[in-house]
Amino acid sequence: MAKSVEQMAAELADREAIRELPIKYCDCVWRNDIPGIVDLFAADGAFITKGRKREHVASGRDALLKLYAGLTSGDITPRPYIHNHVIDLKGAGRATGRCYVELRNVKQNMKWIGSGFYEDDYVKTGDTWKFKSRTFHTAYMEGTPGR
Amino acid sequence: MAKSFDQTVTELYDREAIRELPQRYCDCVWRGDVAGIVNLFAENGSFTVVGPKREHTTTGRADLHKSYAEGLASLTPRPYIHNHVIELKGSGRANGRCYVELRDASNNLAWLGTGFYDDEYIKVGDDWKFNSRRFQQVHMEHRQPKAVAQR
Repeated sequence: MAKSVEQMAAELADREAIRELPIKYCDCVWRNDIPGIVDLFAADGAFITKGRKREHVASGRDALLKLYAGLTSGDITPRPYIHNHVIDLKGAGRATGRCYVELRNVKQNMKWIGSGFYEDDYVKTGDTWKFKSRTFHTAYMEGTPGR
Repeated sequence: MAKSFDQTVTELYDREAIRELPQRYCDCVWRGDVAGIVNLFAENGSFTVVGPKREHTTTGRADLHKSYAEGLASLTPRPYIHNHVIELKGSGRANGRCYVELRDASNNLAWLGTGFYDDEYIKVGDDWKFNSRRFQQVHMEHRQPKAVAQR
């Protein structure tokens, strides 16, 4: 059955709000806005990093604040560019998506350092879409042999 | 005459569905999902590669499946799509153009090249599909055979 104009408008609004999440995430990373990054997650939201050999999970606001506080402390201060965002609305305030990122490093004159992708779960909290979880898969990262 | 609210929402909905086609195409290429790529095309959809010296067209899902399976096995591209413009033509037809950068998964994601797609889109039932994709190479790095590149 064809969708009503109201259904189409609601889906468009949801998709637009979800599309903005990874873009705002990158914007916050560029500006080292740690509370801004964490505000994009649900209260029990999680960030998971998956390499070939290990996995790290930070779950909940405090753990996320601690994780992202280290954003500029290592050899890499990342500057991300997001691409190829696909979104699947699941209904009942849930959605999933995937998007691809390229990273450059401020500490190496913006040298290209790697790429990967995020597997995202989104959840609608009140009127606002948030990351329920982000799982980062490394495709290639300079200086990390074996990845 | 100004568009009605219904027309405006319908156009936005169409544009959103069309915008997602090249994004899903890239997502499928990254994941090696050949069936997913082919499903983005209409039944008689076609893909054309325009190189500096020759042009090659593949038409229909069976041949597209074969062509993408072989192509992705040998080239291992990792695409990022940019600058997608869309023109709705009415009656379930549209066209567009988008630009791509490619990196090479067989060579530490080294930059492989760039080009653009001239696309024709068609609405099949409730879904938008590629009626044709025409990839125009702008620059492609000379690529060593896989076995050499992996040394």
